[in-house]
Amino acid sequence: MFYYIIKRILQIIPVIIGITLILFILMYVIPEDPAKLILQKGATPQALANLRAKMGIDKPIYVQYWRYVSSLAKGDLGTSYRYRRSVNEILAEHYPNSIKLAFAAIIIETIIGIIAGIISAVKKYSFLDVLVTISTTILVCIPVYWLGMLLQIGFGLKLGWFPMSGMGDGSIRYYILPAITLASVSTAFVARMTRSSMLDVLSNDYIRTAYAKGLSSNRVIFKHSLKNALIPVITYIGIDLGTLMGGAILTETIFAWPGVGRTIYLAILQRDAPVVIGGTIILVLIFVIINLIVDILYAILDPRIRYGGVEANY
Amino acid sequence: MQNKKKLFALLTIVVVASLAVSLFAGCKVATATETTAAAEETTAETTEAAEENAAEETEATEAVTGEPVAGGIMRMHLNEPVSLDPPNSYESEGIQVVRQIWDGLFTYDPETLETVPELCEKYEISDDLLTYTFYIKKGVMFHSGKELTAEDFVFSWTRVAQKDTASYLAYHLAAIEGYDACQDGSSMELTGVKALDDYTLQVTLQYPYADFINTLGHVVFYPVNKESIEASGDKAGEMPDGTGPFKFVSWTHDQSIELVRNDDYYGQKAYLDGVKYVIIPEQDTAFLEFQAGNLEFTEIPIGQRASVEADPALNEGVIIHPILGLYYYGMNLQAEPFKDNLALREAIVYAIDRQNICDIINEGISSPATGFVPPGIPGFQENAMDYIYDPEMAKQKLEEAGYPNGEGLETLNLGFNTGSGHEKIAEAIQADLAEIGITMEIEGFEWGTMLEKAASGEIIFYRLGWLADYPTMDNFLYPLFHSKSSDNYSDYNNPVVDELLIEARSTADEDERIAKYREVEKTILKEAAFAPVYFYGTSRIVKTYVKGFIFDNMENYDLATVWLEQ
Repeated sequence: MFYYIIKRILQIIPVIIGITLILFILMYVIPEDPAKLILQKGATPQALANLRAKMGIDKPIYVQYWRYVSSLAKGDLGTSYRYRRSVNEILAEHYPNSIKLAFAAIIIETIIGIIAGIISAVKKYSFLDVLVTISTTILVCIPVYWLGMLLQIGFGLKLGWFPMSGMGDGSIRYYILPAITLASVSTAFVARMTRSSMLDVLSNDYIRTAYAKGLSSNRVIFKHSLKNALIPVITYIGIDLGTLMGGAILTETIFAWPGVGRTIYLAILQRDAPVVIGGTIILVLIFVIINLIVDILYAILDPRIRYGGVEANY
Repeated sequence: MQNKKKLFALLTIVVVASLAVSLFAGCKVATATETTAAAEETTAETTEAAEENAAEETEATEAVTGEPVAGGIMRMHLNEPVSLDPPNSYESEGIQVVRQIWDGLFTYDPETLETVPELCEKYEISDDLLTYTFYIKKGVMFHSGKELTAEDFVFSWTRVAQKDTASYLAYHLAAIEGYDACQDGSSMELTGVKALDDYTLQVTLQYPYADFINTLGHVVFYPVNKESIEASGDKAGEMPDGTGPFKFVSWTHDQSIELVRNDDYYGQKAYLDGVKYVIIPEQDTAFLEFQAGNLEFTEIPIGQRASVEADPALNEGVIIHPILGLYYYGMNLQAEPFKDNLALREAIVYAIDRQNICDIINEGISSPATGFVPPGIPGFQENAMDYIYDPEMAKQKLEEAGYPNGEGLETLNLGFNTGSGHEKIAEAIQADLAEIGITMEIEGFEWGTMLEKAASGEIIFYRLGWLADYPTMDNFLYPLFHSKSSDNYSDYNNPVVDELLIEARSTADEDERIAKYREVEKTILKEAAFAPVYFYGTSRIVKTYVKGFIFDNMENYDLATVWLEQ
């Protein structure tokens, strides 16, 4: 097991090298000079050369790549072309905000989505079921941008209940509107998934048996059906969490949320390669590490799973 | 497999719940403590200052009603700036903030845009327009406490010009002796800038440049404090130490920038306790915050001009006026079909319905271009251009050009940078040109790509804009039309114009100089070197209780003169 963990951790290194290489080549083949992008006036050949030297893009790609990888080994993600600030700092400022918002959204989609899904499955074809079906369809169709503005105008400007932008002092009320906006589409998916999954489970023989045994319907629904019905839903939520942690460009823009999604999006537009590559590396690291933890926990929790060594050969 | 799924599901729930709880709990406490501490610090400083100012003001208020009152925080909308270090404040956002933190040798009068001394007590110019001597005000302190001396200017300007700084704005110093050697790295010294003593600065130029004084109001010339720059390491952009009426307090990236009144300011102290720049990337969101009373100043979002002006609760604070900028369609004069075909270029200029673009697409915020140099610049000539919208004349010119009704003329590919609404204008012009028989295709590019392709001649018909760095005619005509200028994308090359431009730069007398620039403008317009479309305008909105706020034609403002009525 120990060797397995070491092996997995070491495997991260070629993954990171591969990713940096691919991103480097992608950023390099884009026929746009970041120096020219910034130097809009007075772009004499000398001024452009000086700026390229400052950015470190005056050397051939393999030299640039080597430089990047060697500083990456020291944990240095480089300096942003545009802001002339350390990429480590920029990402450290923005990633936590995106992750916090992602969790807020996940909480909303989990609670509301699952409850709506259960109600709609248990009370199949009732008024509530139709209501859930219609509202989830609408939620999926509404453009995030429009929903965000609607919430801002309704709950921010008119009612004055919640702040409309920024994260202020970081208190919960700043999270409400952006988290609802960010969660809207996923909540609808979760509700629909829960509904269909519940309906599947409820039609099983063991549920009929449970009812026949005289169990109360609450007990059948929550104890026997829900547990099995939620597995695909939770798997979806897990994947969604990973996606949301990468930042949400539209929600972050509308609500002036200082997250990483917008930062990386702007960096792509501005060909700010160090920010794009650094941001992606962090995202990949998060994924790889979560995966590793999951795999290790599988082995710990389920004795039938073995990694590495001879035991795996049976 | 089933087990694996279950486990993953279980793990996700645990991770989500525990992380969410710890994150929210942990972060909230931390942020709250930090902000409280920062707020306390600021309040302590500002209360003291406000009391002092209020005491001074009471007398004045008693004497005349409607006089300025001290106190309050002005909340301004801003996008995330790139840097607050003058050599790198190349975009409007950073410049706005830098202008409140610093003073320059000169500034521009907000009403007339004339250059007026600020840190400079008096100055002398040699007859050959090559040597400038500036006498700097005594007792001007940097916010960190050091007195400003001529040496600080030498350090600051040298830093801008040096190769290693790779300043985005270095080109502003191109006229100063020693600039080229600094840029190519052969020298570390900007030989043309010398401190004769603590308060006397002497600048020597490489060539006569009569408008040099007028350039000195630009932020790139602001004096930085050598000690602070050295101490800040690579964080100079986040730790501004200026000499202006407001001191920098904090910059929470993508959230806000806070300034506080400088009570040691050498001049008239600001009335406001401080300024809070609220960073909001989306115009519409900022406007909602303005309506909710959380901002004192913001932009009017695109498409909302009419509704804002019709709203009695809002329209009093509307600021709409022209700014010093030109939106134009450039043509590469060294490439077919534009090369040596004046009539074709004229046909295009005649064919564009500028009024329609300004009224319909730009909601009346811009005004149809009447030349290259926009109104507000000293020397502006009304109706410099003879070309008015005239489709009949355009058709005639097209025939003269050898393409009757557009026959024989290849499709023109227009390059523009995507976003910012340029598509709509391109479509309007496409329709205008189609009317006289010219087929135009529209091709969008990323900004940098477009500039590169225009510079290399790969795109020969393109949209560009030019915003003034300083309010001078030279700032429009020299960079855009001198054959050696790197901003001359149309490859305009007329030795007579080159010579006239140099002559104008060497003319000390302002009237004579302006007359020369006017001649240059007329000459180039006659050659239809490119098609001016409109002069940019600005549309902002300010709360009516904000007094003394002037948003000038360069989109600059000085918050030192502003006070809040409530």
